[in-house]
Amino acid sequence: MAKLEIRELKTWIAGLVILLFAAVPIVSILTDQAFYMAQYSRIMIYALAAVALNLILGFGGMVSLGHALYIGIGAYGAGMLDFHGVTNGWLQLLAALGVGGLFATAIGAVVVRLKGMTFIMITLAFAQMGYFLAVTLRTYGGEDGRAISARSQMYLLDFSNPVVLYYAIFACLMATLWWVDRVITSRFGMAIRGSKSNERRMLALGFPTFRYKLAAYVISAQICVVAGFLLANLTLYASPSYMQWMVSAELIIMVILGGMFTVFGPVIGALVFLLLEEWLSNFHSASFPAFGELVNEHWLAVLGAFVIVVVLTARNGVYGYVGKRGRTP
Amino acid sequence: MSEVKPILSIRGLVKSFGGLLATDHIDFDLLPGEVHAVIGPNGAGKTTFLSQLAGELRPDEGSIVFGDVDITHKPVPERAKAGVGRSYQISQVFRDMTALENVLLAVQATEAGSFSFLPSVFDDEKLLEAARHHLRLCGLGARENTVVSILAHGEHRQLELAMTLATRPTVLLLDEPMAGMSQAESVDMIKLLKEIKKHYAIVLVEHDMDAVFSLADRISVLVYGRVLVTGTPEEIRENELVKEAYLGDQEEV
Repeated sequence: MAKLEIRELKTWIAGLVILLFAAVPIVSILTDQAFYMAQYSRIMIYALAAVALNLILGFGGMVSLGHALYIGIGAYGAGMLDFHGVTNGWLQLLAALGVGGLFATAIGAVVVRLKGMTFIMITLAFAQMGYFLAVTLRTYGGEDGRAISARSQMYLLDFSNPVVLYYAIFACLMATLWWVDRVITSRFGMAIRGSKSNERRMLALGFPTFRYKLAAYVISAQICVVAGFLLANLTLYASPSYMQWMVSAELIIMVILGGMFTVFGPVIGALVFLLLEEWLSNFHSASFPAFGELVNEHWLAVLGAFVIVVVLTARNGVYGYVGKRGRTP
Repeated sequence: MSEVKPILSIRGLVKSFGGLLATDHIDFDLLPGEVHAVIGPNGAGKTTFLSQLAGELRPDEGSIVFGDVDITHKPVPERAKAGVGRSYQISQVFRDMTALENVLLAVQATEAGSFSFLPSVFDDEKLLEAARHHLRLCGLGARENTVVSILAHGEHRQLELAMTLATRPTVLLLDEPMAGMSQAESVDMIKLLKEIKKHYAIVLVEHDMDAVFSLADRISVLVYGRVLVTGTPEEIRENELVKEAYLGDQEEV
């Protein structure tokens, strides 16, 4: 009974967050604060990437410290094609997914055989290669990246209207959440979870685990490509900074912060992480200006401390914590 | 040796780790429907031998023929698919899943592939029924919703057997199924194995001599990676070499 209530509580929290996302443009328009819409567009894009990462991290046990690479590929898909006069968003997305698929398959074929620390390090190494490759692309702005002239033309969807772009991102996030929620109890999801739990047993049962892990890695990467494409449309910019290793690390933090054994946890993680980042980096204290400045300057340290506290007190993250309390011993 | 064609035929199997010859030119036959036990003192190479049959270790020399197919160089999942089921000395189960989910995955392994991305396995009555059947068969019917990490040791052994059987093997490789079990649990397990042995050919590695002598049709004694002697339980019991190398050893302990 108690367990049921906890589950309901979690559903309530997820429902409220989704409602919040859905309501932002309305509030934004009513209060004439366009900023909110941009802020929450960004939050949902990172939530999308974090949910995708969690598919292999939480459910597959593959800790990728290189998923920013795929955000970068998605962003450059929009940026590079725009530079060459191809403004058709569907073409840009298709090209990005094509390149992303090639990269993910090649990199995945190497890394999914690895475990633990080697997996982390090799995914990081591949992502860094992508980063430095982008830095050397002088035509597209090199280290600084390059502004995109206009939002992608999606024909039925007018991305130049921020409300349309916002709800397109919202729809991508919802569709992904729905699918991940289903896939974890599907045959494919069971194969992935089994490979994380005990790969030796999976092989002995007759599962060629390599192909399932590789497929999960590629799918997870491709969702990040979509996230990157949306990010470039939001910021109208494509730069190597999107695939910095810091971004990969932040995605992992979002997943851990929210709760990596839940479907919705990474969304909470992205929301909390990015709101805190915003709040701390603009922190002001009227009564103690010196304190405000201190937090302002060292907001990353404060954020770090918060992450440590969450991980130590609630090993399943903020969202996972809700379920943990009710669990009978 | 026999007119019956063996289901598993091993010839000249060699495996060495550095200077240590763990498997020393082993010839071994498993006949359809028989329980062929492998016994021997610690470090005789029993698990190494079994791991080569399952495919986790590749032999340096020799051949393993399963039915009519040479599987010497086939990877583990392919052998499992072909019908070689294995249980381990230390239970290899999915500790974070329920007992039902464990066996469900084993049943799922018998299907053509697992690239199905939407329908839940928990809505698939056929899959669930097959999994429950094997749980009941191995005495875990009442435990299906229990997370495996809190099951007792003996129950882990039962669960592993249930999973192995659920993959619908023709040959079972059992590595000390009685390891770490209480007397009562061992008795139950022997009873269970006696029931299922009609349907499978079994290679049984076991230290529990009561189990070996009550289950085995033939016994091979392994010493320093070599087959010392193969024979019926009576022949092994009477064999002077075996008494010296192995059984005598046990009595001292």
